[in-house]
Amino acid sequence: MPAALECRRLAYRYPNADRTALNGFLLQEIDSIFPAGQVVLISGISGAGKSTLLHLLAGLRRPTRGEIRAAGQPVSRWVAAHRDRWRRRVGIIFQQDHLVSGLNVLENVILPLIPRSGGPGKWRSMGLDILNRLNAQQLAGQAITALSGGQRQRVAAARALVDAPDYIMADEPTAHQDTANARRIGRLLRQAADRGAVVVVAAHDRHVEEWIAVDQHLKLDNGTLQPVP
Amino acid sequence: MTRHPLLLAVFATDILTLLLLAGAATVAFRVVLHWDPKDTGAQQLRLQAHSETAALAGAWAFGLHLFATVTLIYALTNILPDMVPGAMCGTGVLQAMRSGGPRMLIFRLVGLAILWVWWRMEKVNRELPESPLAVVNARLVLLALPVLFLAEHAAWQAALAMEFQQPVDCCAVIYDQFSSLDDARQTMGVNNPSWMTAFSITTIGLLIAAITTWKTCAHRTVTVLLAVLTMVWLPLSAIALVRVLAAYHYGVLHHHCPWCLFLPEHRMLGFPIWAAWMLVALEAASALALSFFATNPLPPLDRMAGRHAAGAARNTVLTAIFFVLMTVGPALWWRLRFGVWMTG
Repeated sequence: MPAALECRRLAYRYPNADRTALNGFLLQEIDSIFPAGQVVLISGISGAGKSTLLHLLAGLRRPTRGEIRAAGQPVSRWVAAHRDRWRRRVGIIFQQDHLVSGLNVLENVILPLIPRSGGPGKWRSMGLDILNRLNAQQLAGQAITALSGGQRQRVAAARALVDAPDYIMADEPTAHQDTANARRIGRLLRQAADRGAVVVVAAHDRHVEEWIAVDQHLKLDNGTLQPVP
Repeated sequence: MTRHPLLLAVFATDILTLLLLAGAATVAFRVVLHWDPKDTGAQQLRLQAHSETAALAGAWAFGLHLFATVTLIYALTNILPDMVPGAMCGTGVLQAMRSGGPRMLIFRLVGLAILWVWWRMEKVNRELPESPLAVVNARLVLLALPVLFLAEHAAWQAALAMEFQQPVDCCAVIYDQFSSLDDARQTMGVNNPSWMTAFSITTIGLLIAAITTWKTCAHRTVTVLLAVLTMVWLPLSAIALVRVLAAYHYGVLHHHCPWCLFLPEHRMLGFPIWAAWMLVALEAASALALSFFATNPLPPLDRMAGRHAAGAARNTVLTAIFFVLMTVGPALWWRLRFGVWMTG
């Protein structure tokens, strides 16, 4: 069972940020806990820093101040080799899907499995299983360039979830989806939380809560996180 | 001064090494002054990120310095003797370099030793996510920089001092050290069999101490004993090799030259033999440095430091055995083959 993710006095400023507002800090003094077994929704206007916060939580960026702890360990301050090893336990659905265009859909999905144990046969069956659950099994052999925006986003979700990660960061996971597919993604994220994963969803779409059963809703405003009643 | 491409390559590598190390040293200086692992402020986090880059620069500097040192020794022993009139091996070349040559070698080897210990400690540091040896390692980087700078300065002086018109005496210098056969059979007033006995006893002691250090994961007292024995063993083994055992490689008596071993006529055995000799020193020093952290109250650090110190002690054992095989082996073979020692 993975432990909670915890932000302690987390602050972030882009290196070349304009310092007129909030002294250039996009995020400042965030003290929050993202418990295991819960889906936490982070909403906020475009440009509020939701994606940046998710990147920080996933270990893709270093905080400017403060730290992120996982199981009590300051993972955001670890040296790169250790942080990279920890990041293998994190699944990320990026806002821009970042799929590899030279690989087909199934190859993209099984990418996170390759450093693990098991062989191509097992990876293939796991990849097809997650694609099936996202109603994308028919896309398995297709080239990435042939996919629509919604299909790409579902493939990105499949890639993030295929390895049953302990920490899931989903940035606008239901973007470009029709209601049925949005519910499928929401169901998978809920199931991940129910098996004990930390699930953090960033979205500015008000309908997200209709598709994903959320335990906690936080709003990112002026660089700080506030609970939404 | 010569512009031989090999020497130019050494100088270019040295300059690159100094630049990398200077970059690492600027971060190391800030680490020594400001490092506070409990602080989560912007300065500390920036320092942590920079120290990772500095460690990478330090590792490259170490690798380049090692490469340049081996290349330089190859040039001294196999390239430059053809250019210096009268030189047959490194002895003649060092003569041509005047005082700069030996100083350059000493500073280089001291710099190598500091960087070697740093590299060993940095491996422990990187295995633990909190980088608990950051400050100690930063001090080692700050120590290495001036030593390597002095080595480079001495190298330039040595290169500038070389005159290719003036002949040198080379091995004649070695024979000039003694005027009678009795003189040749002793070193610093002590006869050579006594040096060999001291070398044999110290080697056995060194091996026992190194094996105990290895098996006890660097128990402090044993590791200190290993360091002391290594300090005694280094000059004794060098004397035993140059004054007695080298004769079995050269096939002639009383040719007390450490550099001729690097020549192709002697299968360049100087490289592995002196490398093993140096490695014994470096690994024993690493085991000692790491043993100080093997009793650290921070549990992962003590385990990790103990494991690496044990590894260093194991390497000391293996390299010491290799040195003995390479130096004493030919003498034993001679004895088995001809029934007598070369010295009678």
